[in-house]
Parts: sequence; C-alpha cells; structure tokens
Amino acid sequence: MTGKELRIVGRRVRKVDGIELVTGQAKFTADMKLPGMLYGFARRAGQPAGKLEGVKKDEALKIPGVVDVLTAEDLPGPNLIGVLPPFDQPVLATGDIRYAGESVAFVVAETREAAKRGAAALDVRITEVPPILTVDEALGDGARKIHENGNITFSRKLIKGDADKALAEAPVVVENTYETSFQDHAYLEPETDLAVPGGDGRITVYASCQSPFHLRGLIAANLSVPAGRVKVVQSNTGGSFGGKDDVAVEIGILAAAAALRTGRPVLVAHERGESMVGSNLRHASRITITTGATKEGKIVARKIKIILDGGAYASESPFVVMKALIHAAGPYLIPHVFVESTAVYTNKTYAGAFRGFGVPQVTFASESQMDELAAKLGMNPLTLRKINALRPGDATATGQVFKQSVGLLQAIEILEKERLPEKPEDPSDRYLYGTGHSCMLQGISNGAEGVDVVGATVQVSQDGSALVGLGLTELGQGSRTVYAQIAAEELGIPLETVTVRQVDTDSVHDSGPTVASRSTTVGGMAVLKAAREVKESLLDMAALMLQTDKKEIYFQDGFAILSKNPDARIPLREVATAAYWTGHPLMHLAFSKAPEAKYDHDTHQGSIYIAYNFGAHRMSIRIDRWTGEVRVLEHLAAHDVGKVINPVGLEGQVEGGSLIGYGYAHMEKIEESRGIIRNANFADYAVPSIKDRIPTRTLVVEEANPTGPYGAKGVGEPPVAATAACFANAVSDALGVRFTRLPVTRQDILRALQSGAATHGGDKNG
Amino acid sequence: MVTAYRPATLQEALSMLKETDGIPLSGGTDLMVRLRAAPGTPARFSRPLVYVGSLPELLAVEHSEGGSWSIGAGVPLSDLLKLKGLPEALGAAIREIGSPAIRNTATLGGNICNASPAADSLPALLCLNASARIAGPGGERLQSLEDFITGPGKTALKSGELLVSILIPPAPPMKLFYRKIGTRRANALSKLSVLGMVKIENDTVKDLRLAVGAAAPKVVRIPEAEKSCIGRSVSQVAADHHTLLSMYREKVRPITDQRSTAGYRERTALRLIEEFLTKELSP
Ligand SMILES: Cc1cc2nc3c(=O)[nH]c(=O)nc-3n(C[C@H](O)[C@H](O)[C@H](O)COP(=O)(O)OP(=O)(O)OC[C@H]3O[C@@H](n4cnc5c(N)ncnc54)[C@H](O)[C@@H]3O)c2cc1C
Repeated sequence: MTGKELRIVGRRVRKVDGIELVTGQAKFTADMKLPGMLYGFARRAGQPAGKLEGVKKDEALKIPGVVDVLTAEDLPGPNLIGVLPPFDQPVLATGDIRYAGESVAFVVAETREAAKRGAAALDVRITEVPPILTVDEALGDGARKIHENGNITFSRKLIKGDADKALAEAPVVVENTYETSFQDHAYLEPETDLAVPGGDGRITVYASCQSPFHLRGLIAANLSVPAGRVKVVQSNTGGSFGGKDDVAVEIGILAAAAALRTGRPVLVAHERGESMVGSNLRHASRITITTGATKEGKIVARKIKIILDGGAYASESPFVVMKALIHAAGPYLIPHVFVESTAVYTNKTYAGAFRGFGVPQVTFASESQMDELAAKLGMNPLTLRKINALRPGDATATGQVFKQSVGLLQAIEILEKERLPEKPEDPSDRYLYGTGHSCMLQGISNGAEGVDVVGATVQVSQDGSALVGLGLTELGQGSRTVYAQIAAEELGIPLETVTVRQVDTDSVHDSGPTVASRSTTVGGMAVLKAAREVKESLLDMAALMLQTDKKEIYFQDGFAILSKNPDARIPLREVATAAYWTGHPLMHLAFSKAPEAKYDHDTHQGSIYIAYNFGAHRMSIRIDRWTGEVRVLEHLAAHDVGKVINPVGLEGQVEGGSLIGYGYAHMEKIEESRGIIRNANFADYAVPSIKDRIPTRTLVVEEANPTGPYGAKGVGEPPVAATAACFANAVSDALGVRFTRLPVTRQDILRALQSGAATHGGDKNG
Repeated sequence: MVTAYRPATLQEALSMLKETDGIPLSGGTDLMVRLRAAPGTPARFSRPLVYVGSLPELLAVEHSEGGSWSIGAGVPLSDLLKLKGLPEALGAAIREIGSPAIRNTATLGGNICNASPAADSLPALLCLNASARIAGPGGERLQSLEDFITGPGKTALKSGELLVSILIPPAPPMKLFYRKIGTRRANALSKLSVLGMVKIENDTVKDLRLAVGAAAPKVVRIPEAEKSCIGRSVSQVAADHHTLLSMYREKVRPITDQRSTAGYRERTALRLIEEFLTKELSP
C-alpha cells in the first residue's frame, strides 16, 4: 500500500458530480434537442400471447408528421438481443407474441404526439393464443412451448455432501414454501436513447444505460455493421438498478435503425407505463426450503428448490438462477446442501437484473426459515444465526474457503451490543411491536457469471490534474467519487483536481457490465493500478529533478516532497510538465482481473466469487392493529465492506438499498390480470416516497478483502435482501404468525389480525 | 389534434363552453390522466378543451372579517396553503394531496368537479358546510357541496356550467382529527380518509362533524349521528360509540379497486371513527 496513512480514501466526501445533479444542471438524454430530431414510439402487442399475422403501415404513414414505420423486416440485422447466447428476444416481433409489452412496430415522427398517433393507427393483426401465466402452467405436462426449446429457461443444481441423508437423520427439521412477487426498478428517469447518424458513416447513441459496450455490440450486430461504427455515450443516468440493460439495447437498436433510414437523429424516451410494461422486472419466485438441525441449533443440512418466473425472455435469467442457487443456503456453515434453481418462461413481462439479482428472493426465504427454526428450537433467533455463521476458514455452500474478509460474526456482534428501542407505554393495547433479524451474504463481482476484467486509464495533465476513464458507469451509486478518491490518494493530489470522464465506447476500455456490486472492488482496483503506473513515471521525473532516488520521494497535496526534508518540494504540475517535455508517460491503461472462478458445473462446488459482502440487519417495528400501518422504529444495517472508501457514499448505498428492500417487502406489487399489468403507474404501484424513508443506520465492519482496493468490497446490492428479510421477520414477530409471501402489505397484516391467524394482538371483537 | 381555447373572461368561457361543448380544463392533473388510455398512448379528447385557469373570477380569494371564505375554483392548491387563516381542516387535507409539483398545478375546483370518492378536499369542505358558486348560460346559482356532488365522478353541473368559487361559512375554532390512509406516506391517492372536527366546552360536545372519504360512492357524512352527540358529555359519547359506529357501518360501502380492498377500507374506516369518538374527544 502507500506505506502512509490514507488521506482521501476513507474520508467523508461529497459526490463529485452531486452539485450538477441536485441543482438540475446535469443534462439527461431526453434534455437533448437536436436539429431535425425525430421521436420514436413503439406499438406494443397489448396481449400476452399470439401469432403476429401482419402489420399494415398505410394508415400510420398517413398521419401528419409520421416519417417512417419500421417492422421486423426493416431491421438490417438478425433482430435478436439477449444477454447470453443463444439470444431469444427479437427487437420487433416476428411471429410469436410472447408478452403484452412486446414491440411489434416502431413509428418515427416529427413530434412525440404524431409518433403515438401513428402507432395507434397501425393495423396490427394478432391471432390470440391462450397465454401461459403461471410457472405451474408453464411446467405442466403438454404445456404449449413459449420458446422452441421449451419453457425452462435455465436450471442448475448445487450439491454439497448428502442433504437427503442428513435431513433424514436430523433431530429437528423445518420446511416451508415462500413466494415473492415481481418488482419494478422505478428509477426516476425512464429508459431513454438518442441515436444520431454521423456524416462519417458512424452512428452515435446517447443512452441512459448501465453497460455501454453491451449496447454497442448488440446495436452494431443488429445494424449489421462492425462494432467500431457505433459509438455509445452514456448520458447522465437517472438510476438503473439493473434495469437499463436489455431495454436500453432494444430502444437503442430501434433508434439507430430509424436514424440510419431517415438520416436524422431519433429519440426514444419511455414514459412510466412503457417502462413498467416493456422492460425487465425482478423475478417472482417460489422457494421451498427444508432445514435440518441438531437440538443445539447446528444446521446440518438444507434442501432448497427455487423456481423463478422469468417471463417471456431469458434476459439475465441464467445468471439470476446461478446467483440464487449459490446464495440460497445463506451465510452459514452447512455440511450438506442441495439446491435446485430453475427459471421458467411465462407470457409476462420478462424478468432480469435488479439490484440483488436473485439474492433478495432466497434471503427472504432462507431467513424466514431461520426464524422458524429458532422458534422450534426455542432459541434466540440471533443466537441461532451466530452459532451457524460462516467464519474465516469455513467452507461456503460451494465449498469455497475464505481465509479472511468474513466479517459476519462481527456484524452480528455489533447488533447484539445495540439495545432494542424502548416500547412506549400503551394502555390502549392498540400497537403491536416486533423485531426481526436477518443475515446474508452477497457475492461480489461477476465471479462464475462471466469474465471479470476492468481496464482503466489515468492521465495526468501538465497542470498536475488527473483524468480517469473506465468502462464502468456512474448510475447514482457514487462510483465516480470512489474512483476520484482512489486516483487522488495514489497520486497525492487534491480530490478536486481529479475528473472521472463520462463513459463513451470510443474512449475507454470495455470493462464489462456495471453490475454485481463490482465497481468499487474491480473497477477501483484498475484505477488504483493505473494511477500507480502513472505515479511511477512521475516519480522517475521527480527523482531527476530533486536529484535523488525515487524511493526518497512521496507525493502529497499536489507536491513531490523529499521524505528527509519535507520543505524540499516541487509542485506536481512542474513535475508533470517536465515529464511531458521529456517523454515520461503521463497516461496508463491498467487492468484488474479478478482471480478466475473454478468450479464444477454439475455441483457448483469450487471457488465462485472473489469475495462476499456479509450483512446482519435488525429492524424494530410498530404495527397499528386498527389500520395495519407499520412504522419502522429502528433499522440497523451492519455490513462487512472490507474497507470504507467514502462513508457518505456507503451510507447512501445502504439507505437507498434498504428502501428498495422495504418497498419490495411491504409496498410494491405488480398487479397483473390475464397477462396485462394493471398498475403500470406510480399512483397504483406504490414505490416508497421520501416520507416513507425508514430510519436506517449504517454500521460498518472492515475485514480487509485482499482482492479489492485498500481491502474494499462492494455494497451496492446487499442491503436490499437483508432489509426485505428482516422486515418480514419483524412483522411475523409482532403478529406471531409467519408470513411466507412478499410483499406483506398493511392489508395482509390487517387480514391476519382479523382472521385470527395472528397469535398476538388478534382482533377480539371481530 | 386537440383543440384548446383560452378564454380571457368568464363570459367568454361560458359562451365557448356552450358553442363547442368543451371540457373545462384547470390544472389538468385529473383530466390528462383520465383521458390517457393505455401506457404511452396519446390522450383521447373527443371534445375541445376550454382552459379556465386564467379567469379572474376563478382566481379570486376573499376572506371576510366575519370569517367566511370565498375561494376561486382555479387557484392552485399550493397557493391556498400560503393563505393565512385558511380553515385548518382544508389546509390539512390539501397538504396531503399529491406532491409539491402536483399541488402547484392542481386546483380546488378540479378536485371537486372531478368528484372522485377519493378526492381529499371533499371531507374537509363538507365538514365546513361549503357551497359551490356556479356560473352558467342562465346566470349564477349557489348549491351546497353536499348536493353538488351526486356520485362517483358526477356533479350537479349542467352542460355549459362552471364552478366559479367555493364558499365557506364562518366556523368556530374546532379540534381537528384527520387521518388519510394511502399506499405510501406521500403522493398517494387515498385508500380512505376520516376527518373529524369537534368543539368541546366544559366536557360537553358543542359541535361535531365527521366525514369519511373513499369509503362509499360519495363522502359519508351523517347529520343525525353528529347531532346525537351534541349536548352530551365526552365520556357519554365515548361510552356510546358502538351505536354511532353502527350508523356509520350502514353507510360505509367501499369498493375493491387497485388501491385497496373493500374489507380493508370498511374495517379501517370504522376503526378510525372509533378512534375519533373515543380518544380524540377527550382534551
Ligand atoms: C400524481 C398525482 C397525485 C394525486 N394525488 C391526489 C391526492 O393525494 N388527493 C386527491 O384528492 N387528488 C389527487 N390527485 C388528483 C388531482 O390532482 C386533484 O383531484 C386535483 O385537485 C385536480 O385539479 P385540477 O385542477 O388538476 O383538475 P383538472 O384535471 O383540470 O380537472 C378535473 C375535472 O374537473 C373539471 N373542472 C376543472 N375545473 C372546473 C371548473 N372550474 N368548473 C367545472 N369543471 C371543472 C374538469 O373538466 C375535469 O373533469 C393526484 C393526481 C396526480 C396526477
């Protein structure tokens, strides 16, 4: 490491791009107005299953302002997108209609209104087919095949030891089935892409997106041009959470294809309804778990079956299947584990990546069952977790052993030290109080899910300032600030003099997708390496200037300083200028490559991830027996993050992730009937508002991770799962009844009280 | 194409409404949403729009010394919140309508004329015994708000008529009880709401008003029930709340929709009424 105290890493710093965002100066894709710009709007199938017989364009083309209409035949390329080959999703429908939000034609016009009118005027003929709307129907004997190769999208097994045998012999066994529903990302800015044809045969796509290189590859393929012809620029992105990948590709291709045909810029800006109906959701799930334990509370085996409703297309389903598979047994030392994880096609909006990526579903199920086991054993739920918690040197469910950076026990102990909030006197007996716990783990970075390399550049200018570039995107999570801190720390320059550039595919190295809590860990490491390489070059220069060995020099506050005599110092700007004149390199491209995952594909035994984030949460709530209203009195979120780079950013991530988890567990529910989403708006789909914020307190464990910069590991996703799980446990504790379905809404709570299911506080007078 | 008119005077507006069979447009926060069909499709306006938000008569606010109010139908809700001395019940209700951005454009007239069972200003205005000043081709008329709202989405407005202002008679200072239940704590339409006002002197109920929103086709207010409380002691009312509750149970007839179930609405409404009658009355 630096051999010195850290000066910028670990300090509370404001987001480097925060001021522009909160003052409204930051421009988003839809803020761009270009001369001659057209507006694109897709006509959607409007029914969940069918055969597209044909689209007649004539009436649409007669609408004033309509310039062009594209159907599948008009796309120059294969008309296929997806995350993992073989791709299964058309950009515009060809034969089969597989969900109601499927785009069948794309209208471009002088105004958005005209485009919409054109879309409405199209003559679209679809022969209805009975839709398959549940996983049971999809898996039933003789079910119609939604895709050629059947209705199973992807299925994998994890086998460690002999779970059946161990369960048969276990003195205490609990079993239950849990369900979760779909969730929408609900970012402030709906998906937006703008394609601009260049005079040079190239095309530029400005996109609100998560993974620009993914866009570039698929746009180029579907335009049938080499990837280098396409430049994708990530605009300021108003949230993504996993949601601006597939759909950003879809609308990017449509906009680009139309831009090439018309020779004019084409903007596609989704409205909220389109965003909810026509882009991926979090998978709904059904999870059955059987846990066996000794009378003392040592878990001996878990057997788990996960079924994920993946909707119409594969999207990220294969990876979500794996993530759920690997995490389902929880952060515990369990000798015998069997998990089967399967994603299924249905005629609904497709499911894909969403902050947590399968882990919220399984954590809710697994942690609910931990409480059930504790109740059966008559044991304190936190003690049960502590007994079984993974410790350094223990084997995870996949048999991977981490010798360090396993801080679960410390996280639990922090919670134990915190006193429970006091219950106020309540003579009216109106309120019920409950506390829930959850423990979890979340694999950091792609691991077994794919390549895990980031390329980053650091460039120092003659004025001593630095420019950082890498292919990972800022989505609100604060990664730019983290990269700036790392570069400033390494180069010994003030934070304000570091700029982290916007991602465009012409100028940065493909760094893989911005997913899986990997930005700080893998991206940060690449920035650190690149900064160190530039620093070496500057040190060589400074050594010449100070006429000493470079070991005698350190950089701080923008100066090259002689260790022996700190008064002997040269401004780095002079060093950089001299380096420029003498040809000492001022820019480096460095790679951080995570150690490769090695595992058996049939059993998923082996090393999967470079690190895990471990978390332990506690939530105390008060329930109003009269209205079912839940008030969160306290929420403690302890996570082992290895090393905090920016405490403010960390708190932001934990609080934001927790609120998504809370919405997931309590408020948000996609209401669908006959394959149509009925609440595709924020009036009826209850995403939490600012007033619904819960009092989350971030507690930190720092067990250094050798694969991350300064020991850091990511924290973007983990709070979602932990919060949802401890909320459900808190409600179950308050009411004395187990809720096995998320969300647990206030209606559900009132119903439980009324029906007498609740053993606490049940309604006496009906 | 949508045809929209922007009359400068009330007279002009009334004649335009008559000639074009137009739809009055105020803040548009209900109208634009209602006329939009499926996600992303253009709004369907079968008739022209007549923008009434800039008519001086609809923007006027008067507050008499005696304590009565006349509030223009076209005043944005956020402007109403800035008025000193606005009846507390109305302020409380408006403060929980939508979000700041919605309140900056939404109007009281729109909330009333939209006549949604979940319109949040209605329980307050009914408890305040407000009435509607209406202008039409045949001149002006006054109607109590109670009679003005005739059903879900229905008002007593005749074709070509406009709501000009809302008149609120002076009311004695009263203790306010307001509970709005939405799917979240801000920017949520009501699943249901209960608004109560009470005046107590020497432990005796002098005045009591109670309205339940989103729990029936119209806001529920039961004059007999209210009257039966007046003149009785606080503890008598509390002790006898079951009788009162059964009166409300008769009238609370909620529906199940995408925001809530009928069962939840009914049960919770009655509980909140109970809370008002038993707990909130005691000082
Ligand atoms: C995001 C969101 C949140 C909301 N939250 C709430 C909430 O919490 N509580 C709540 O009660 N409502 C809520 N609403 C609904 C709406 O904002 C209110 O009802 C608002 O007061 C309507 O006023 P407006 O001026 O926008 O009406 P408009 O939409 O302009 O008009 C509504 C109706 O009234 C008619 N009209 C308007 N003015 C007159 C007039 N002077 N004479 C005759 N007819 C007239 C119109 O023709 C139309 O039929 C919400 C709406 C949105 C979009």
